[in-house]
Amino acid sequence: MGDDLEKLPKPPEPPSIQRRFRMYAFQWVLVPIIFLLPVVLALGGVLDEKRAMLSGEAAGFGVEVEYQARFRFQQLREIRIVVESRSLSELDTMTISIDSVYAARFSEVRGIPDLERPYSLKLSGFRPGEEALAIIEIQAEDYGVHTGDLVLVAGDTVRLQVRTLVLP
Amino acid sequence: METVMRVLFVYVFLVIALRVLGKREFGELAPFDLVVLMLIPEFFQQAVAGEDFSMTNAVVASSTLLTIVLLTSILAYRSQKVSELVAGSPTVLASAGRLVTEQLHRSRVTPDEIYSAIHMSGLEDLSQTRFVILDNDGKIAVVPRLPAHVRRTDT
Repeated sequence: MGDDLEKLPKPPEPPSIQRRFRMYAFQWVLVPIIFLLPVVLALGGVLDEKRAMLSGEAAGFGVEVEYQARFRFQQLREIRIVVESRSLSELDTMTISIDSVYAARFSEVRGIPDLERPYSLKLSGFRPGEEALAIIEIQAEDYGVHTGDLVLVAGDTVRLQVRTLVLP
Repeated sequence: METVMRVLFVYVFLVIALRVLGKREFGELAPFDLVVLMLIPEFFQQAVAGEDFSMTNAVVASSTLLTIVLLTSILAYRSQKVSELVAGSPTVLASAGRLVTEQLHRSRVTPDEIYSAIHMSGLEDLSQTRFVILDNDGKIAVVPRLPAHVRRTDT
């Protein structure tokens, strides 16, 4: 009953035409916007997470802050604050606080060491030349650009402005 | 960037995997096929989205997928070779009333299924067919043998 295809008649091939790429007018408008734009933006890194650095100096200490300049909804990321004592004597206490207007835009704000009161934590007792690390964790919630000051006080004050874009 | 790469990888992997599986699997969904089609997204959901549940990620992922699908369809339309590579080409399962057994084996189509398609076309027997063809979408097309008086008119 069975047989090789080579020896049997084959169905006719469909006619061939010159195949060209064509789209409707609305497709020319919408395809780049809906299909290509998000891909191009993503490939360009515009929609990716981005970290940024800030640094400041005051009498007796220097500070470097690495924070989230851009991230996405519900992602949990750190603001890392490295403080270096440049004082000749021991720094008793340093208070690090973050703008409540800024912090309130995030669903979760936690500190290491723990926040003592809303959006403020303390570092204490570090000797000359010593470094200390404080971390503030934030979880993205409200979309848009959020700006606020990070303020470090240990006698003198350093004020650094952080600016974070939360993508939906 | 990472999302685009993940979607691209998953798309290429699935196209190759489904292409290797063969077009027979697409025609009708047997319980086994249904389970496979339900499980595959479960496996890949995490791989594509990761821990990122943002709308941005969803838009980038779906735009990437749609762009790949659009580009594939444009390339497949423009090039016969790409079309055959991606979608395959029809397979002749029976010709001039005779089964092509080698193709039945490769496509995993049983004579019962061929006869079922023949009956659904209103024919009784294989001898009444000119061709039985497994199309790219997995469906079996039956081309009946023309009645003698029609054949005479044609020639």
